Amino acid sequence: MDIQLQNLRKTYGSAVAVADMSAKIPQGRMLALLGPSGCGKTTTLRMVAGFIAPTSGSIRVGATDITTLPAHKRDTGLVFQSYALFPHLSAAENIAFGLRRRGVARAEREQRVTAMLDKLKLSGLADRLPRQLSGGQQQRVAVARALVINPSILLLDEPFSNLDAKLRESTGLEMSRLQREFGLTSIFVTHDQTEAMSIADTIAVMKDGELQQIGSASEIYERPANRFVADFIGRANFLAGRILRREGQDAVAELAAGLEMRLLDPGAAALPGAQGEALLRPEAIALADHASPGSFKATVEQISYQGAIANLHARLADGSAIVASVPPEDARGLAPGKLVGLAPKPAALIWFAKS
Amino acid sequence: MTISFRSPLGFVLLLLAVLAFGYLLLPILVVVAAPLGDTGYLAFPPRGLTFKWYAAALHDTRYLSALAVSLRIALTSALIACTIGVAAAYGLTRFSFPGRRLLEAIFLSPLILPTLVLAVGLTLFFTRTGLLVGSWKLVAAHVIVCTPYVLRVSLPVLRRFDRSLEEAARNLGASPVMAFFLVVLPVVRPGIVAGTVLAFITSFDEVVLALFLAEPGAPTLPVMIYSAVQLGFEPSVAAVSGLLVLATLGLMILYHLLGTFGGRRN
Ligand SMILES: Nc1ncnc2c1ncn2[C@@H]1O[C@H](COP(=O)(O)OP(=O)(O)OP(=O)(O)O)[C@@H](O)[C@H]1O
Ligand SMILES: [Mg+2]
Repeated sequence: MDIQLQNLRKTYGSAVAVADMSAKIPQGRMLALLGPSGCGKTTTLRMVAGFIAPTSGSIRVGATDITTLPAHKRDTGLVFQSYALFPHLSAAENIAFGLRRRGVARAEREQRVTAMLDKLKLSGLADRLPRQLSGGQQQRVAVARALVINPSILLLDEPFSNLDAKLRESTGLEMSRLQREFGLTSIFVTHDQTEAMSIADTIAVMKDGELQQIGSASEIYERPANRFVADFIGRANFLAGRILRREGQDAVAELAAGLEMRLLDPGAAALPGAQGEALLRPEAIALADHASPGSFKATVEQISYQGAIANLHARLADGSAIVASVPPEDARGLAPGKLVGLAPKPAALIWFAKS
Repeated sequence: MTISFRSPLGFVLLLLAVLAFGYLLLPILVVVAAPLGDTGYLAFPPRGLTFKWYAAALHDTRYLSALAVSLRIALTSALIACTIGVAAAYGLTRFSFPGRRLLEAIFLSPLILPTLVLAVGLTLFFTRTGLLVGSWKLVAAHVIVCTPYVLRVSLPVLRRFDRSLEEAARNLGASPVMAFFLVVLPVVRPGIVAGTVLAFITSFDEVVLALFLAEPGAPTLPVMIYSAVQLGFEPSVAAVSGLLVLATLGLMILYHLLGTFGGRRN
C-alpha cells in the first residue's frame, strides 16, 4: 500500500525535530530518509511506526489515516538499528513472535518461520540465542522477524550501520531485492548517501527537521535544490562568483576571480550583479591545457590515485581549492606545482544564489 | 587488572581476604557446630557428637509452627513487595512526571527509617483504625520494609533495559501489557528474582516489627528464638539457628541454579 505523509511535524517544547514533512511513497517503492545526524530521520520513522505522536500532520496508508492508531495495531515491520532481538528467545522464536501475536496456527507458523530462515540463509541457526549469533546473522534475524508477518510497510532505521563495509553493501542489495520481491512499501533511514542512492527509489534529503529535496538519486545528484543538498550528496567544488549578464534563459558569470562561464538556466533570481556560488562536481571536470580558453587555470597540489580514477587536488588563481576526478592516464605526467587547465564539461555548472 | 597471588601485594590481598571471610563466616560455623556437642550447654569447639539437639529442635512443635508462620508471612510479603516494587520501578523508569524523584525517595525511605519507629507507629495506627487483622498486620509492615529492596534492585535493571525491545514487541503486534509480560519481564527476571529473594530473607529474618505486630499466639521464628534466648540459652535454640543457616545456604544454592540455568527455557 502507498504511504502518504502530510505536513508531519514534531516539536519538543520549542525544539523542532521534524518540520512540515510531506512525502508520498507509491506501493512497492522505497524511500530513503537521508541527512546528517539530528535532522529528524528517526523521529519521522518512529512517527510512522507509531512510537511518537506527531504534533501535527497526518500519516495515511492506502486510504486509511493511521495518525492516531496505536503502534501494535499498525501493520508495519520495523528493523531497528540495534536489531532489538529478544535476548531470551531463539532466532526461530524471535521470528515467530509476530506470528504468535497474530494468532497464526502452529503448523503454519512453523512452516513460515522455516521458509523465512531459509530465505535469509539462517537455517541451522534457528535454535541459537541472539548473543550466539554474529552481527550479520543478528541483522538477518531482525529482517526476517519484520518480513515474516507480511507487513504492508517496512521500516528500516539504519539497519546496516553496525556491519562492516563489505557486508554492508551486500546486505543492502539483498535487502533491496527482498523488498522488491515482497512488493513492500518501505522507508529506510540512513546518513550514508551511497547506501541511499544504491537501494532507494526516492531520496528525501533532510536538514534540521526540514525536508530539503525529494526525488530520485539522479535528480538529487544532478539537480540539487540548494547548496546543502549539493554538498551533502557526492563530492562538490563550490566556486564563488557574480552574475555579469543574462543571455535569454542563460547567464554569464564571473567565477573564481577571473573566468567568465556560461550558466545554463540559473533561475530568474540570477540577475546581473547577484552574488553566489557555482557547483562543479569533480567528475564533471576535464583536463585541458592551462592556456586553453574556457578552462580554469590551476596549480596541481596533490594527486591521489583511486584505481579507476585519479583525484587531482589543485588551487585556483583566487586561492580556492578544487578537486577534479580524471582518468588516471590523463593524470600521468602531472606533478605538484604544475600548471593545468580545468575545463567544466558542458552544463556542469549549477548556480546557487547567495542566501 | 589482575594481580598474581605470588606477588607480595597479591599475597597480602589474599591474606586479607582470608581473614575477612574467616571473621565473617566463623560465627556461622560456631552456630552450626556448637549444638552438635554432647554437653547440656553450648561449647565451642563442641565436645562429643550428638544430633539430639538438632533432633529436639526439629521435633519441637513450637519451633515448627513458628517456622510455618514465618514462611507464610515471608512468602506473602515477598510476593506483594515484588508486585508493588516492580510496578513502581516500571512506572518510575518509564514515565517522567513532576515529583518523580520525590516519589522514588519516598518509596526507598523505609530503608533508612529505624524499624522501631515504624513498629511503634504501625502498632498505634492499627489499634486506632482497626484496619487489617491477624497476620495481615505483620504482612503489611513487612511489605513496607521489603518493597524498597525489590525497588532498589529492579530500578537499575529496568533503567538499563533496552526500550527498543519493548518497541519491537509492540511493532510485532503485542499490546503494551503483553509486551511487558512477554519481553520486559522475562529479560529483567534475574534482577526481580534477586530483589524478591532479598525481600523474602528480610521478612523472614525480621524481629522488631514481628515482636510488635505478630498475632498473639502465633509468633514468627525469629520472635520464638528471641524469647527462647531470653528464657535461657539451651542448645536446641542454637540448633534452630543452625538449621536456619543450612536452609539459607540451600536457598542461595537454589537461587544460583535458577539464575544460571533458569535464564532460558528450552
Ligand atoms: N525526546 C526528545 N526530546 C527532545 N528532543 C528530541 C527528542 N528526541 C529527538 N529530539 C531531537 O530531535 C532532533 C531529531 O532527532 P532524530 O533522532 O530524529 O535525529 P536523526 O536524524 O535520526 O539523527 P541520527 O542520524 O543521529 O540518528 C534532534 O535534534 C534531537 O535532539
Ligand atoms: Mg536516528
